[in-house]
Amino acid sequence: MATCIVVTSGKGGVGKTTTSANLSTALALTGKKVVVIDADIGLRNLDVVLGLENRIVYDLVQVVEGTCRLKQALIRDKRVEGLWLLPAAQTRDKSAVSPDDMKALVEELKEDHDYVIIDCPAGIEQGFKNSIAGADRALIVTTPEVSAIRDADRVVGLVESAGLPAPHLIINRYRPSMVQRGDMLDRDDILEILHIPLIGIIPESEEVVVSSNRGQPLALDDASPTGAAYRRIVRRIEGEDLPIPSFELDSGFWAVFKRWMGLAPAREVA
Amino acid sequence: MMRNLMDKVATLVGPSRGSKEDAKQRLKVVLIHDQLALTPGAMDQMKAEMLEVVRRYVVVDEPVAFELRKEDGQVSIVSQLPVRPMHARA
Repeated sequence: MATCIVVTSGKGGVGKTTTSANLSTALALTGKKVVVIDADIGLRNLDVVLGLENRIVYDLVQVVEGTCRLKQALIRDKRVEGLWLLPAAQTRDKSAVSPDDMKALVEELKEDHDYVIIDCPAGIEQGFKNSIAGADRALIVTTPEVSAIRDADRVVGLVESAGLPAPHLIINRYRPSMVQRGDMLDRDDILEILHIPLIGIIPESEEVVVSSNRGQPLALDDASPTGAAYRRIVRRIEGEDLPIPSFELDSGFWAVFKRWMGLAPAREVA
Repeated sequence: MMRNLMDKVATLVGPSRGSKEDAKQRLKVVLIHDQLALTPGAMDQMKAEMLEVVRRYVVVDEPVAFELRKEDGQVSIVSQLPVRPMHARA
């Protein structure tokens, strides 16, 4: 039985596309057959994050309108077995697709895949409604900021009133050093406000920028701590009871002193 | 640079309170307003009108406390108004 997961947030720029790319890649690495849909029609981005932008021929809107067959529009990722991208159209807008279209599309994709991941656009209008229409469950991405958490709270309500089970939360761009000095909401603060189960924390990292520069998801990189964090989230999605590490800093006197003086970067211990 | 260092020393010696407490308080208030679809302006008006009604019957002393609280998903208006009779025998 295939599962369709929508990755959503309300607010833009919190890391939905990066999360979708990495979770899809990490799921495929576990041997699952995965298709990831870019539902941000008009603002196509998942293709470049995945590094597949040069291979697009057809898009989601053309599939829905019957210009091409679904299989023709799917781009196979050659770096990992079992991963396909269904790209968004770049020259159309969200009204080109309806929630019923998306439902039918997801149902068709579920026949041949274990997971359908939907990268939802920012906002709560048409693109959001399309994205949640075919989904079985939702992952909410937020950053530890007032604006992102406010929007996440709104989206949690909308997801639940659409009849989906309580969504799981991914806290993105977590900065342990700021949390440690009381200048960033910590995981307990965020969970106290949002009341949904946490499925993973991704610490802020320069690696993410480098990987998007190259179109090479971090989940593919065995040496990357961020990639490892995504791979752990995938194990939890698969039902494994894997504890979420606390990203504590080295609390030895000199380490603290150096960080305090700004001489050493915060080091995360996962 | 100097300023930066002074700030850092201040965080060591003075009573410090990280900005996350501000974030948390502001978030709680804004989410309650969002949930009730009640702007802070409308809330102020409601507060003024409620006080006006109470003042028809008793004298209300300062300070008056009036807040929205959320417990187990239920939002409540919690108010504390120190009152005394209109015609107090002094």
